Amino acid sequence: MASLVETSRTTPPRTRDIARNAGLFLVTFAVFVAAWEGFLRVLDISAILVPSPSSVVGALHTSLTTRPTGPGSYLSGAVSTYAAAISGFAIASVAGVLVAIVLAQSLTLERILVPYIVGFQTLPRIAIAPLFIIWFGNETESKIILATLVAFFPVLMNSLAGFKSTPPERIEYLRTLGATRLQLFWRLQLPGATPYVFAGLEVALVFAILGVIVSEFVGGRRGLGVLILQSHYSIDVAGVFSVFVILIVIGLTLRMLLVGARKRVAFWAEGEDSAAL
Amino acid sequence: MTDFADRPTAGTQTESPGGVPVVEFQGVSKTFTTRSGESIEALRDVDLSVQPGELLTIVGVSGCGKSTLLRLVAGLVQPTSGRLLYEGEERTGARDDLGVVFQESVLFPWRTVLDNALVPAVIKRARRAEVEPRVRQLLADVGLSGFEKKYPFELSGGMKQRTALVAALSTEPSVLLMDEPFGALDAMTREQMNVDLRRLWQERSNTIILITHDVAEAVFLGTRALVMTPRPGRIKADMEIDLGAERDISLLGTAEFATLTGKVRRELDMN
Ligand SMILES: Nc1ncnc2c1ncn2[C@@H]1O[C@H](COP(=O)(O)OP(=O)(O)OP(=O)(O)O)[C@@H](O)[C@H]1O
Ligand SMILES: [Mg+2]
Repeated sequence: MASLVETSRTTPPRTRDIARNAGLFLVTFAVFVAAWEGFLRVLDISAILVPSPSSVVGALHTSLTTRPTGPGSYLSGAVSTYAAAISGFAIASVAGVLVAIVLAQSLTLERILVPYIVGFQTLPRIAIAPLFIIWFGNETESKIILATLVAFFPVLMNSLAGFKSTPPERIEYLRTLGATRLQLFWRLQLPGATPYVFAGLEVALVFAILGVIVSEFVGGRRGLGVLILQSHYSIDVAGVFSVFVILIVIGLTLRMLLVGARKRVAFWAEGEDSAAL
Repeated sequence: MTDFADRPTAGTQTESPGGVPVVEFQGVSKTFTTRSGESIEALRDVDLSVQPGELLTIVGVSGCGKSTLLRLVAGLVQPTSGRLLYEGEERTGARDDLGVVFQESVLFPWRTVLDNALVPAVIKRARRAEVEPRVRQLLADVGLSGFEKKYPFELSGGMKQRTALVAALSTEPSVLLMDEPFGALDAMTREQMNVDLRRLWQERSNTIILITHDVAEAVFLGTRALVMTPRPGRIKADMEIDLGAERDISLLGTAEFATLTGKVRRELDMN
């Protein structure tokens, strides 16, 4: 019976790719650190302006060993910052997707509300941070609210674009099968929008962390942003950089979790794995 | 599977008992209004009756209203004037008792071959356990066994259209609408698909309306072929294709086949 034997395209071996990417990363990272250290020595730049990689590692080591836990430690700072950032991110994600779903159902609603949303979006939301400190105090609430607010828009706008990107011929196809509106949504619009939603979530994650750090700068009592300021005031540039290292490491980890989730949920939209991290 | 010697073949349908057309167009016209406000007359005064068990092929140049005609049958658009009858009755709204295979593959990239083929069953809330064995059998029939768990991006164009065809047949519709289903395929794959479609049609007793812009395809597949004029589309010629019930690829090289394609091509060119 089988008349045409067609072979399916095979996927490239993934583990080899990962190993190669990791190797490449280690090499470039080593070169980068060496170049950094080398430049500082050759150009004789003061360690007060730009710390050397070795002094950053030193500062990091000292902070982690002299005060591993408790108030003012990197650990409690990171917990405070990321608890707020992840809460804000989570609230913004749920709210952003839900509002996008509502807006996608009615063109009228979208026409009425989108100008307000875009208008509000053009206001640099970071500028509201001082106000939030006044309104909600210098505790976690302020941080979460600012993080939510800055992370909300990328989720909303990307999800909305996703819900509206449903190819009309697919809608028509389901209509010829007698699909209800609800079926159209669950079976077609929602799964089709997931790559867009994830694109929004990836931006939102960065924005949420940004929001928390800004909130901490403006008037926080705890968190990595506060630690940066403290090092800054004591002109401890290596200390500032050592917090950057923590921010980068945790930020990358969270991002990789998100990318991992995207690759599981929206695997079918992975054209090319361009972004390794 | 079934003995197809007793199937009605071309020319015998019109005298079949009952003889109620599955679909009937009575003076149907369709004019679209574009966003910029201009009117486009896609179809003008189409009279057509489709008999049960027929494999009706429709050829015409691009933009002559072929897809519009099919969309009318599917109830996706309504006629501007004229009437459309289903088994002698007028009905309104989208039809959900038809199978459709569109020009573009409408497979869902997040569903496997099997799950894509089960989409109509899911939408119609049929019991999966009832439909799945039939769908698996259909997949095997079109040469897709072993590919049930593959995703569309892992398939060739031909395999995607086979999957779409299986999906369309999964709920055993009495009428199958196909809009240039093999248009995007290379010539060899297309010929093979044609042979397979003929076989599938002979094993079942669906009525098929198939749109194409390929004259050879229209003649090879059809028990009856219609030629449409350029826009506004009207039916220009209506030909019975007396090439017998059993057709295989060797038919493409015969003189009768050449004569018939020549006839259809002349009708198309005379526009
Ligand atoms: N929804 C619509 N709104 C406005 N005009 C339309 C619409 N659908 C089709 N048309 C117009 O009607 C005419 C016929 O379109 P149709 O899609 O039926 O052509 P076709 O014969 O299927 O062409 P092709 O072979 O290229 O698929 C075209 O001029 C097209 O622009
Ligand atoms: Mg068309």
